[in-house]
Amino acid sequence: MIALAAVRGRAASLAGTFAGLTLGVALIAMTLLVHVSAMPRTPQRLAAAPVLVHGPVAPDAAGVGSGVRPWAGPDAVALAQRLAGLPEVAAAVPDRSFYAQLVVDGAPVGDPADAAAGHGWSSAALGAYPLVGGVAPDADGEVAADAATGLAVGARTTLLTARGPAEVTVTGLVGGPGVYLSEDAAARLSPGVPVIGLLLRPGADPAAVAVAAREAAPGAVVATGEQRAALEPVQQAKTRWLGTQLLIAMASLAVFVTVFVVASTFALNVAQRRRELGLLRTVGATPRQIRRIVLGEALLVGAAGGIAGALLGTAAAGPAGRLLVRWGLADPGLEVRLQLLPVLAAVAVGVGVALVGAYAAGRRAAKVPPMAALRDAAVEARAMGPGRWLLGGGAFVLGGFLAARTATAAADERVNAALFAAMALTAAAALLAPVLLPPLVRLVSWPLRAARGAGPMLVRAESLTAARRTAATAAPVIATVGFAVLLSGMVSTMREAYPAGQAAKLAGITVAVPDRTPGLTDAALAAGGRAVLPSRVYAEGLSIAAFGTATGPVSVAAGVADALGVRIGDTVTVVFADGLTERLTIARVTPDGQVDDDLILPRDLVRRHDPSALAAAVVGVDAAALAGLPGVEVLDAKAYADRESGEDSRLLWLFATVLIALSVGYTGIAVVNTMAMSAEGRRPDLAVLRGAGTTPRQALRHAAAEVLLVVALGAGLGLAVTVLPLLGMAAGLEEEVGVPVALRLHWPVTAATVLATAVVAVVASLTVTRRAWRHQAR
Amino acid sequence: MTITHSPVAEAVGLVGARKVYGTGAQPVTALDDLTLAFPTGTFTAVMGPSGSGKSTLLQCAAGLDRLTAGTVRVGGVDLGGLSEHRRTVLRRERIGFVFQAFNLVASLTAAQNVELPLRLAGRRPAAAAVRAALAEVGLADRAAHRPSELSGGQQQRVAIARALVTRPDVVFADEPTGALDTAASREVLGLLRTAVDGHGRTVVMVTHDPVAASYADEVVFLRDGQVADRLGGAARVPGRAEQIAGLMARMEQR
Repeated sequence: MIALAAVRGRAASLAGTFAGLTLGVALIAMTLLVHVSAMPRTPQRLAAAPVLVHGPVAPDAAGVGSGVRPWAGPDAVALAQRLAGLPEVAAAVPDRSFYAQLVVDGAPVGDPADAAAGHGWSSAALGAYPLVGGVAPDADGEVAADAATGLAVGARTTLLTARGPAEVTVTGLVGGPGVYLSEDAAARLSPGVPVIGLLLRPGADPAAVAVAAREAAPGAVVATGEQRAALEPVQQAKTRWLGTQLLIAMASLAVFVTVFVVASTFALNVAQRRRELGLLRTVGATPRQIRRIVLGEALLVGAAGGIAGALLGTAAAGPAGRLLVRWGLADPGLEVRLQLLPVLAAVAVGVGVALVGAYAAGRRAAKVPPMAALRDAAVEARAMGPGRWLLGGGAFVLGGFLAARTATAAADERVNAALFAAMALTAAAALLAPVLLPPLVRLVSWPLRAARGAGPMLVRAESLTAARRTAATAAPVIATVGFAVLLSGMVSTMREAYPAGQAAKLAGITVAVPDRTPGLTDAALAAGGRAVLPSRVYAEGLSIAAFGTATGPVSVAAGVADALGVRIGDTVTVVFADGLTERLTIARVTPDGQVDDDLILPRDLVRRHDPSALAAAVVGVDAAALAGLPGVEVLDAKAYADRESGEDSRLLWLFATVLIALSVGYTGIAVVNTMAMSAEGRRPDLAVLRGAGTTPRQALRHAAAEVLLVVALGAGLGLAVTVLPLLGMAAGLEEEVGVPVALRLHWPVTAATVLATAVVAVVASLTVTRRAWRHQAR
Repeated sequence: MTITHSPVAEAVGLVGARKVYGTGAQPVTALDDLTLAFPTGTFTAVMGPSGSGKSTLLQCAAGLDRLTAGTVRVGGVDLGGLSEHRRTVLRRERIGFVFQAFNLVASLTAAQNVELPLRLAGRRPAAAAVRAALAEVGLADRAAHRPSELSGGQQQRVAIARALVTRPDVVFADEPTGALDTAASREVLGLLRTAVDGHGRTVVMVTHDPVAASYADEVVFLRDGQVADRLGGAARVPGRAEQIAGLMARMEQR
């Protein structure tokens, strides 16, 4: 009863908590819904096979995605024959996937990221893709094309495979995506078979067939229904992984910030209610009952915010999913499905967050002595509690230590040290705001001391005496501006530094890159230059990224070596993409943290076992030799470096802007909250000002000036604590990439952040002051 | 928990009560070896100049604050040996409070404020009992009003209804009329008097107003943490307020 009445009675002061929780729960519900909807799905082109038999799924040694270990062609064919003999099985189709792309009017068509669009003709049945015209390809030089390409039966066109371009005849048209070749041609381009699809007779029970298949294919995985999702294309898993990172970042930010908003609101709430809590203690409430009242309020606000957030998050999930697709962070087929469980989970998290945030306040409330009922409520609670000193001091020491490390650490560590230093110093500045701000206010407003009007005097005095309010307003501003400057400055500096370093390394060299294709074929490689052939091998139950380079000895990254349990001189047996095994002797172990070095093999070895491997680029090519080759573009070093880092910096920038926007939103809530909660305390002051002849316009002007001063100081502090570490980061980057790196602050983002914060703060302050003034007038 | 009742003639008793605030260079002695009893069924006023220890006396007697030395008994129970939890429960069951102001929880209605001690004790208050308690103070028609919708005198009357609803051994009133006009003061004091005369309750009231004190059966004058004087006799007799004022004035001159 008391908690409910208290919530009703102090709706205004709990509004900030409610808004914070609503936003938090909405974000969590939205991210969970999108995440659940983005779960792996059975690829459409295998969906008509109710039972899929595939090799063991091996997790990636580096932790992203997984791979299916293929069988060697003859083994797969033999296994398929055994499976075809099982009762109720109409056909067992060994499914091969490889790079194949048609060229129409001189330009490659189809998904430019799909390196596995080619299949043997029999695979079309696994997706129930019908032949809509012509006949199935049955010999070399024959191809069945997706009817959507607009090609006609009998048309001559160019087919790109890893071997290079070749002239082919379109013999058939398929009602589904993909390029279909004869079985023999497919077997040459993909000797290994990762999957055998079983087509069943009408009315057959997939579960029963799966049981029989498991007996017939020991060691294989037999998947039915949802389990078949394990065969989703690697590219989709990568996309989802990226999208998940963004969702996780958003949800984590939401949880942490919401806890802080709730904790600070409830702390202030309890400080303002000392007298009432004392009264309750006097009339017989035990400390435990007081704690329960505070937690009960948190529960109510948490539940209310949770429900509002659930509705908001559910409504936002669809658009958010589409946005992710647009940003290339989700599979285009993503359909956000509304489900109850993720939404309930988000509400539960919201209530939990409210309780966690209110816990400390509840303990403090329980310590209020009954005597507090007899005394005037403490006008200004202590601005700096021991906890705040401890955390702020700790963050400051940590930040200082990391800043010092930035100057001394090795180049690659220097960047990280600088980032963490900036974060720690931002946290320290926000926490120590009650100590830092008064001297700053004094300093900044010193020239105004002698000013004639009452305004400057009042603004100065107000922000000095109400240290807690000033700090509560400034702290989120410091944190947000610091965060925005750090993130935007880091990304803008990096996205210039890395390409610059890369371009410097390749100065004067031309590079061949794919043009509307997923990679370069042997035809591009034949013209000379350095190229790396990426492939995938399987060893010790792991899937390992392998890179074929010129001739080099077998070398393995330290992390992968540990995962495999091998050292220099050891021999390891690996299965290649064609399902064949080789024994490799490790000649070198390279330190972690480099790119594309999980397992480095001779290029010929990779080509022999993976006829469809595509190079990402060829460095140092003769542009003239490649002229006219479809799917190839030749760039100079600078353009290549920009192109190569383009996707990374686009994603980095995307992540940065989403997180900055979120934190600005939370700052708004925190500032409005502080204003609303301090409104009550300001009423007596306003009454005095009114009595002393202040006009409403003057009062509003003072309020706006005061809050602008605080925002300006907060923004200045946020900028100050991040710029030094960022300079350290730039210095570290300079050493790492080997070209001069200048610190780039992203002024548009920084200015927009400060402006947005200032506008929210001023509007909140004016609204609250006007209401309080009207209240006085009554 | 159970508190065994022993039939006692005194509702509250202090023996050798000492209260010293602060330690170190300049400790302040608020109560100095004070021994005092408030008999059951009486109305006592505690007076004295500021700093005489009257507020401390009330706080310690009510178990809101702990004595430095000596004992306090409420309804025969020694408060000294009780934990914070047990003192709270004892307060809830045996002591009622009326303060000068801010007596009510602003977000609760008058009826809910009256129910508060019962609800805190985990009892479901009988609607009839709450209504009767409010009717007793003449506010039966104000049950659903919040404190902000009541006058200062009405708020104090709700506070009295709440203080009495648990049938406490003693009601402590700290300047209950300090913020009221004469008419409202008279109503409030009359209600306290009725609680003693009509229901056998015990009331201890701290005040500096001789008129308020004239409603009491006995007036205890404190100075420097000790009993300086006592005035018995009949309550509300003509000229009593003037008599009390005279005693006060004399005491402050000394």
